[in-house]
Amino acid sequence: MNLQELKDKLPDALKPLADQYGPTIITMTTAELQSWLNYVFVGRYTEAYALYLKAAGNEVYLSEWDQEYAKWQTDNQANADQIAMSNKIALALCQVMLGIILACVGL
Amino acid sequence: MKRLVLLAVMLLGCLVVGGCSGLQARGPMVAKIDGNAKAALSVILRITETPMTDAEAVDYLNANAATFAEYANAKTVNWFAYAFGDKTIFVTGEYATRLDVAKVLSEETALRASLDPQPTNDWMNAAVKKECAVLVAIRDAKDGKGPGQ
Repeated sequence: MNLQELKDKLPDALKPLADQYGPTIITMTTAELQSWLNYVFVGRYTEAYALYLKAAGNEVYLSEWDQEYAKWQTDNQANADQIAMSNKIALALCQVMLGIILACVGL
Repeated sequence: MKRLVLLAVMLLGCLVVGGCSGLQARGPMVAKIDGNAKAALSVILRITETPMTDAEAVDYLNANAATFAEYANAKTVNWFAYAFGDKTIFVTGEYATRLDVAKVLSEETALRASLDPQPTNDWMNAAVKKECAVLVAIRDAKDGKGPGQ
């Protein structure tokens, strides 16, 4: 089964989860999936989660951290740009208002 | 006179609103974010010279997971919860998502590091380094700094 076939069988609400967890789940063997289900049925969720994490492969985490760091960098750049723009607008407004205030008090 | 007061208030408003970061912190959280970023930077430098042992790395990844969880739990997008409630980090929706993702990812990484068969020592050190880089990025977000500023 490939990821698209898996998504086709899921209700719409679960399709975003298939994007996140599907790539790992479709690589799990039948025995692993049976073990996973057994853990879930008896409420041993930590073991079920650990089984999934092992199946995900180690490199997945490192690449996810790389992607996450890149997103932080992008957001921080946007944040810094927005602050610079806000400061410019605030400064311009202050200059105009200061002029008005000074005119009001007759200076 | 009323107009003058109104203008003065608007002037003050401009000064206050101008330059607010998308991630703000208050109280002890400010020092925590700064302290964690400073420690993270020294860890990055240390690892580059002398890699951590597996046990050290697992401990560090667990500590990082706790830190990311603390940030995620302390954050809010609601200004009133930040100003008058117990939330100590005020964020935009985008930063809220970033903090939530970092929390989940750090939990998964710490758990994976302690599972048998353990990942290689290189993997452990790389994971620590990458998490530390994000801790520094969080400090930069608070300070309104872009990359390389």
